[in-house]
Amino acid sequence: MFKFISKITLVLSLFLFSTVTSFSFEPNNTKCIAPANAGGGWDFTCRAVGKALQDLSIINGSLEVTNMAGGGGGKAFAEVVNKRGSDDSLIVAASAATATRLAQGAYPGNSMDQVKWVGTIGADYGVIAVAGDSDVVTLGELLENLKTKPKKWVIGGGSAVGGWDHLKVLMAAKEYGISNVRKIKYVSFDGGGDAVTQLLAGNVQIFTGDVSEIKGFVDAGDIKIIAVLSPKRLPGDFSKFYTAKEQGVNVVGANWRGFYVPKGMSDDAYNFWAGAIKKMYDTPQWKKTMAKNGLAPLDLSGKAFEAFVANSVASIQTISKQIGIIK
Amino acid sequence: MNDRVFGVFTLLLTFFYIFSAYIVEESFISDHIGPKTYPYIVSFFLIASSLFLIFKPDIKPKWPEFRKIIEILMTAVILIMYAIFLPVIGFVFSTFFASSFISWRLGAKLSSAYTAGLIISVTIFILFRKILGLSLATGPFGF
Amino acid sequence: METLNFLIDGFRVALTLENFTLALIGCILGTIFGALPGLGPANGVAILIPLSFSLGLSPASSMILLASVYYGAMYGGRISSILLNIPGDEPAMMTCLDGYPMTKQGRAGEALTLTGLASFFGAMFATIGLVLLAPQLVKVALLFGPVEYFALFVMAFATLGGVASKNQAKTVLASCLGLGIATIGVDHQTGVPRMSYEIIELYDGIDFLVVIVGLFAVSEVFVFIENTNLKKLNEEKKIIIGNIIPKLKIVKKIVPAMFRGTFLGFLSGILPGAGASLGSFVAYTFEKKISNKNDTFGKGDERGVAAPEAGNNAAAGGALVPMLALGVPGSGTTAVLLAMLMTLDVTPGPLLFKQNPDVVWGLIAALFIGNIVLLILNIPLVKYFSKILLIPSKYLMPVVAMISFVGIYGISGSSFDLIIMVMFGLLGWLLRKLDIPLVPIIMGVILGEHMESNLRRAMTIHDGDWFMLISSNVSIVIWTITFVGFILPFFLRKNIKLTIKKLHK
Repeated sequence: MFKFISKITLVLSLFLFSTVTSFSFEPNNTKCIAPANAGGGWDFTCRAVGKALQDLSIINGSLEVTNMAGGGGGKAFAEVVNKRGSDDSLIVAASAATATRLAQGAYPGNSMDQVKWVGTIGADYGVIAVAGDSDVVTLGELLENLKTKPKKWVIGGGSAVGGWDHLKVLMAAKEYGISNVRKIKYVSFDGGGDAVTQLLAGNVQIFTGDVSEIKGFVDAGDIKIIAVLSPKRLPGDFSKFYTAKEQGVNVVGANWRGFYVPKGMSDDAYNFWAGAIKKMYDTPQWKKTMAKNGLAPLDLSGKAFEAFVANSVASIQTISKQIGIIK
Repeated sequence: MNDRVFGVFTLLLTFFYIFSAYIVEESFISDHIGPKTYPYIVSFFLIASSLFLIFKPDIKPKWPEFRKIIEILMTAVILIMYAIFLPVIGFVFSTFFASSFISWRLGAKLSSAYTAGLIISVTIFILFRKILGLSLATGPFGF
Repeated sequence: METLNFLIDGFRVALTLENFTLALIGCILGTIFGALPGLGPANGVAILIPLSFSLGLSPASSMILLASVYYGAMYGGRISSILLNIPGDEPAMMTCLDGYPMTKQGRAGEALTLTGLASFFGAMFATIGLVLLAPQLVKVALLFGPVEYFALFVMAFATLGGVASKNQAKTVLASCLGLGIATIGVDHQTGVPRMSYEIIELYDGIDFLVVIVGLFAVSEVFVFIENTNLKKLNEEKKIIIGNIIPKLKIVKKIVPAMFRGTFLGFLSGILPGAGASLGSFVAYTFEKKISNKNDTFGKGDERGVAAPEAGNNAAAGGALVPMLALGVPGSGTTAVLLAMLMTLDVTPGPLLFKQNPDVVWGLIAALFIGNIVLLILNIPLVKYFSKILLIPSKYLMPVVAMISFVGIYGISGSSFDLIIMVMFGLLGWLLRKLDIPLVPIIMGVILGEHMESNLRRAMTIHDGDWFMLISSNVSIVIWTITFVGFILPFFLRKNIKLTIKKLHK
């Protein structure tokens, strides 16, 4: 009798167990880490996507946003790798800045293959601009000035020296054939808005930044866009501006926004998240959110996104080594 | 006299600061004056003012009795423990212990200190977590 | 004329039932946030951002709610400065200096009413200034480059000399400690780690909120513990608010102070990076310089509370000017508001006034309305707000401590920040004992990064020529004011004292 019962229990529990595991991932208690303080770009990524996923009923309940500032995202990265390596319900906001820092070794002891990369929700493309009353018209002229008179042509941008905004111009300069890019003067400001103001004031002559940062200024005619660093012309108002590629300088600078997840996440959960982001991306509502926030199309998910990140990490590493930011 | 001790302390601190600035590893590409110059300028003023404190100290402040100093340090230790245990055992429990302790040390009876601790931790949790949606620490029980 | 039409449209937006209710809630919450030590406008606004998100408010409504909280906090900050000698938020620091002595003399009610009036005055004029100036600002901002900003920050520290401590060396020491703390973390110019000793939590530097809350709120807990005498517990002192209606004579006395405070506060608010703290600070210093004839300042002089309150409220309004017109925040709080605007699909900048007139003018109208609401809340009802602070310290201080922790943890989610905060609490206690002023430390931490960055930008642009720091007209004016107005008098005063001594002999 006793044996019989225990056998039944065993069979039952096995059965139960197998049904549980055969269930695909249920998106309950979902969490999103924004690796910075409330109010920044990563915070926006978590909250906007959380709202969209909830509105579309892709997840059950709301996406709980946690701010985990520290080390320019390094703290959250370390936390995910070390402590939450197999959390199925966790996604973490990331952007081109994450890739840049990983590439330059700014997250000590961490590398991009310690997490899985899920997908993008859009990108903010780079621009190179000058003041509205400047004589410069083409990217060629601008880079020629940088080549011949590097002391007089000062570049301003929102990132640190060696950061993403700086790298974009240097990549263009390199592509144009300026060999000693270290002669180029770059001044770092607190964000794109500040840099544009200094451009208008004449304290710097060239601006490097992202489309969303300067939208208002371009419409007002205060500044002149010389080149957009996108693979194709941008949609909407920005379609009249030439890409760098069209002007013979083959450089693309996409400040993508997206997510990574813990390495030990189950395949079901990973596929769920990749699918969820993709599904959300394809809705008209999301297209609206993108347009509102100056995000241009960049649609990558799953393995394609993994490859994309690997690629950009590698190219940032190469240019950083050439410039001498890293050894 | 205590100013002298503090002056010597800030002087040593400044030397450590200068050393820390000195060992900053500059990358190849940098702005014109780099990350070290400005800390050196600040250090100059730090040294000057520390020396001033050492050579022209104010009168000695009135220190509390030794027992009070121990008590203050104890409170600091409790608060640090609070910070450490917050993500481990959750907001409500850790806040309960920390606020009860402070309340007790400020003269509340143990029983009313515990009541205060309970009310404070639960109210803050409900107000900030449930109503305002702030992310507070969640322990193993979700609160 | 055009402006007036826009403003009328703005009032239409702001006076809908929904928006008016939000403004009212914002004002009340703001006053509470401001009054509670450790929670300031930046925390308040940061906490409410997720709320307005989850409520699905429109951009105009969200901005109205958050701006009311912002203005409300500027009013509320004074309550605990006056009653407890703890600044409710960082710009209310200067109000302690004369506000708390007034409380000790049993004139807390008067102080609260006068500061309420001064706050209203400052905020009202600043809002009018915002209406007139914001659309013009693009040109003014263009006069300020890195060279000019650096000069400006040096001036900010030079003004510290007179107020903070009797011992100038201690003021310098405290300022430099703050400036030193500000250099911790990844260098903003080059991205290399500095003073961080491979500790990843230090890479982002030490958040000034952590320093402020530690030095002011947490150290207060230690001070209370030090002063608790367990035997004398039953004699717990109640704060006496006293008469809230001041004599007309006194109101008349503070009017010029309010004017000066408003003017200086508004000016410092407009300058990006300076913010409300500098506003109240400059207003107080200046007022003390010209009005302190009988050495009444620091001992409960009414002008010493009116000037900084008018100053910080005017600065709060002023800080909105560069934020709205240029997208350059003038303070920590406006930085949070700016981030909010961006996430709400509103791009601040020269075109904001054209593209989103409903948001801008609705916001400005809401500020006018909020101001009147706040005046009502903060004069007749101030007794009820101060009740929050009348709870016995054995229950109030744990609440203060815990809300300080919540505020910091809610923003960064970091235990490390909390530990640093406790350390600063201990340091604050020690420094108070040694009579080393805390205000310059905070100023150093807040302004340090901007000061350094602008110096380095200037050096990069001018290829390391230090003389270029005095190259432009604006910078020469600022440097002249700094030397003639603040540094020179320090030496002169000594000479004058010596001369007087000699004459007596």
